[in-house]
Amino acid sequence: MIFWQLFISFFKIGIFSFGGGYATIPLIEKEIIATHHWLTLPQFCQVVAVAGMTPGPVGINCATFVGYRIGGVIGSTIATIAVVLPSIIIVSLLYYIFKKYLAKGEEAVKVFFSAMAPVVLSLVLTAAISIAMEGIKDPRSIFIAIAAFILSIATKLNILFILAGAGLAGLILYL
Amino acid sequence: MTTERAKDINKIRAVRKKTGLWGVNIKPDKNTKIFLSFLKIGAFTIGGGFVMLPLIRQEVVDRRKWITEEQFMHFLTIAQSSPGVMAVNLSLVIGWEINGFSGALSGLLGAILPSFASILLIAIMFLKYFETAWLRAFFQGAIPATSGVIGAVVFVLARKNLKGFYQYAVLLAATALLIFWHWNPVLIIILGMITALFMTYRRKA
Repeated sequence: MIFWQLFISFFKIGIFSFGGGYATIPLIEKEIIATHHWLTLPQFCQVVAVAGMTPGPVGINCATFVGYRIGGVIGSTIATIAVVLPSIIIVSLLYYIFKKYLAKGEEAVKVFFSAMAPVVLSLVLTAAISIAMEGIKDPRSIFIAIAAFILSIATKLNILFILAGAGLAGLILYL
Repeated sequence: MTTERAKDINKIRAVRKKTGLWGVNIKPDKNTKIFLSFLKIGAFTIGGGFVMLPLIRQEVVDRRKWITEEQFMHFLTIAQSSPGVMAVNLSLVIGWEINGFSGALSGLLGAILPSFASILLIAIMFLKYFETAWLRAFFQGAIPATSGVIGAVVFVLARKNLKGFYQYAVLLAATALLIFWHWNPVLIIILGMITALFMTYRRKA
């Protein structure tokens, strides 16, 4: 049964993908191309390109797209539910533990989270740097990146406006 | 008599406040607000979950004031420590905090619905027209900006949550391991957890 296989595959992807976004793509690639031969490599590259250029998390986009290719609208619904189901279970569990220990001894929890903070931020910083390495190609894009950085720190401007403005700047500068 | 009249007016005002001007409750409840907040963020952020991070922080900490900066850091830690899609995890745990399980589901639905809908639309109709010069130029401008705003959220969170030279050294060292030596993020998280538990234990003793 193809739908069941689809569900199991994306459930697995949901469980074993750590680090968010593009870190999950090798795992999806292995599951979709090597194990099940659902897509060819060029098709998969197209999926990744489209997933990066449409709204929302890349993992969800991939699941919806691959699910649609394999089983239509039902397939995409099943794949999307399957990929978020592990998150719902594990995050809820962690939140429950977090609340329980926070009530018990706040000091210990604070020390733990404070020690974790630099590690967690390093993952976010890595995402920023990898996107910069991919997206910054000339002085104009360096200027845009620095302007966005300063605007979002120094002003209360909605970040959506900053991103949209950068896109418009791209239309002017690159078209 | 004047006080009675004032009381009446207050009563009417209270009812109006509750039911809206036309006698219909038009005020969205908490779950709807959570759903709409995450829907807005999910619909307009392109380039993956980490782009959603600065927007989620701005929405729930600065604008709505649902959670504090410190709580946001806690929830980001939980979201990064769980497998799955990072932005989905973050929407779930923030939703939990604001309004329990129904809040978590509202946040989740808001975060994934735009990507689900837009991918379906593209898969069904637009795939042919996707590669255009306009779109490419737009992204050539927008993508450097995403790295800028993600960098900014690191700056803001670090300023509020990191203390002392040691923590900044860990941040830079871990980032270097991830970027230059391509360490697995899971390994970094697990090493961080072991160190954090050790420090918690030593503080207790």
